Amino acid sequence: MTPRPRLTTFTLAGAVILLFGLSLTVGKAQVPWSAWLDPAGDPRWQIIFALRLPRTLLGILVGAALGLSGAAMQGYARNPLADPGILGVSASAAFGAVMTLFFGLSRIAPWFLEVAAIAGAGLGGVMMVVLAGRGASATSFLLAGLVVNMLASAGVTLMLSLSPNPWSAEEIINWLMGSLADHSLTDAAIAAPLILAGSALLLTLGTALNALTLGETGAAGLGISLSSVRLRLALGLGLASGAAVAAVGVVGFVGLMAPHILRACVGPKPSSLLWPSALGGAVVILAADILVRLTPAASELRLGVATAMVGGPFFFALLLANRRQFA
Amino acid sequence: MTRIIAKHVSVTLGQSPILSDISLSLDPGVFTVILGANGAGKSTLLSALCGLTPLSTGEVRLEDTDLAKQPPRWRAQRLGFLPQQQEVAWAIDVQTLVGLGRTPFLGARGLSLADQDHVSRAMAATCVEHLAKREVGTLSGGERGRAMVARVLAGEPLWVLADEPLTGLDPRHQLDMLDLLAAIAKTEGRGVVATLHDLGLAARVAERIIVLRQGQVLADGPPEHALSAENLRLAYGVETAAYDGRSGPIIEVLGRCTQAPPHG
Repeated sequence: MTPRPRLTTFTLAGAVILLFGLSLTVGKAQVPWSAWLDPAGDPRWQIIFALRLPRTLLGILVGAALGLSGAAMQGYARNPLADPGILGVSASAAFGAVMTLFFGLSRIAPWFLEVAAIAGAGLGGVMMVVLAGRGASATSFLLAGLVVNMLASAGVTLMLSLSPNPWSAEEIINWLMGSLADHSLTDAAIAAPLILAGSALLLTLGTALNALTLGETGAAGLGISLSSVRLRLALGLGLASGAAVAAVGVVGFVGLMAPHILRACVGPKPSSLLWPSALGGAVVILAADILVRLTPAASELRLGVATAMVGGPFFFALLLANRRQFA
Repeated sequence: MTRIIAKHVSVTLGQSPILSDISLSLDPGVFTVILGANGAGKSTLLSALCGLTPLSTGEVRLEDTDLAKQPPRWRAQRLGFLPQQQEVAWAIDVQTLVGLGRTPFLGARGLSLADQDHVSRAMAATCVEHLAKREVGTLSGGERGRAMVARVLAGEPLWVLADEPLTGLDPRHQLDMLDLLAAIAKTEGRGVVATLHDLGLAARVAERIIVLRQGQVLADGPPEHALSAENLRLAYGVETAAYDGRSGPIIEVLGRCTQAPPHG
């Protein structure tokens, strides 16, 4: 298939717009068109603009952050199995966030949670890059990420087991499961600048990620400053993935699936994957959230559970397809 | 001044000295070969000459400035480095690979028309035009080697520094590669430095040979001088004899030398 980066980008942008509209109209409650234009008179206006709009905006932001983070990590690691969820960036962010829940800091000031999640994600990114070391093979990079993931998950479990009362534990569990539901426009407004700043940083990495196709020595020979790349990657991951996790909890596998599927459409060059992966991540999250809402069940299926149910087998298939590389 | 001048260059990794007090002046237009036993410091010297290895003392100068004080991009625009490990991560085609050579010149908008021009010229110079759309992973060793050289040439560097460019090539492709590098030095007037393992091939193509031993310059000069039996005994710990072959000098390795081993 000939790579068509531009066509793919426009198609995906169109899909995001379409799903944006769909996400506002679809749900358990049927809202007639008249209610859309009647903020004062019709209480159902609230369903659209106070419930579905923040949910939709957060979905786009979080999906874009995760898709772009995945594309940047895959480019840096030269490994199609890299993803903020698998390599512990999301788990580190969750650990940071859970600590603020545990100590009740997030009740004093809500931005504590954001800051802690961003710091956690950034630290997770740094740890992964450091643990993998110079000229690390695909396998050691994955292993380093898994170690970070396990450490951070153990930290989360520790917080849970130490939590002083069932309410605090329940708050943590609820938050961990990942959901777009029950968010206000304020949540979206807090997440937006952080995710946009992180994404802007990650989008500057295109040329460097292309050069890294030739390995670290090759990239250095082409005038790429690896320390600057690592710094921008860790900061960008921290801001984008960290703010995403802070906003909606852990939603895995989006950063894995979006770049991998799109690689077939835009070609293997890491730079041409960045924008499409951001848009693709948004498409995946919006679509998954719409499906979650339509699932007939007493309580809504969690978004994080839904993406894991699709993403898990996907990861497995990818692993099998690539097993020669990891043998 | 397009000369590369190394002044009292030392490199230490951890506790062990890799290069100690090397001073050299390299001229463009001359095919220079660096020889030495495994671990003598060939690759480190090459990468130090590119400004890619931090020096513990000394400096490498190009265009009358200290390389270490220049931004990485400035260095990469002048010094084309061909690493020994020629890994290519994704399934990119040859054209994309060669395009990566323009990295030090890229603005925010990607490859310009002028960049494309340099890419085509580099592909023509190395005869890989017909492979433009082939995936790099499907190339033969010789084709891959040429594509890698094209990648370096696309950056129009003043210098081409190649780390063991003959690794994994059959005799015919070794000759092709050396002729290509020699042509880059002769007809294009660029500086060419390569590390090699094959004494005979080095003697045949090099105009200047630098022999390293334990991180120091053991010999430096034209092949007949640098590859004397005495130098080779000290550098590699082998006894050799040189004959005039039909295509150039032949250096026969007679056996291990019984005197002090080279890594004493």
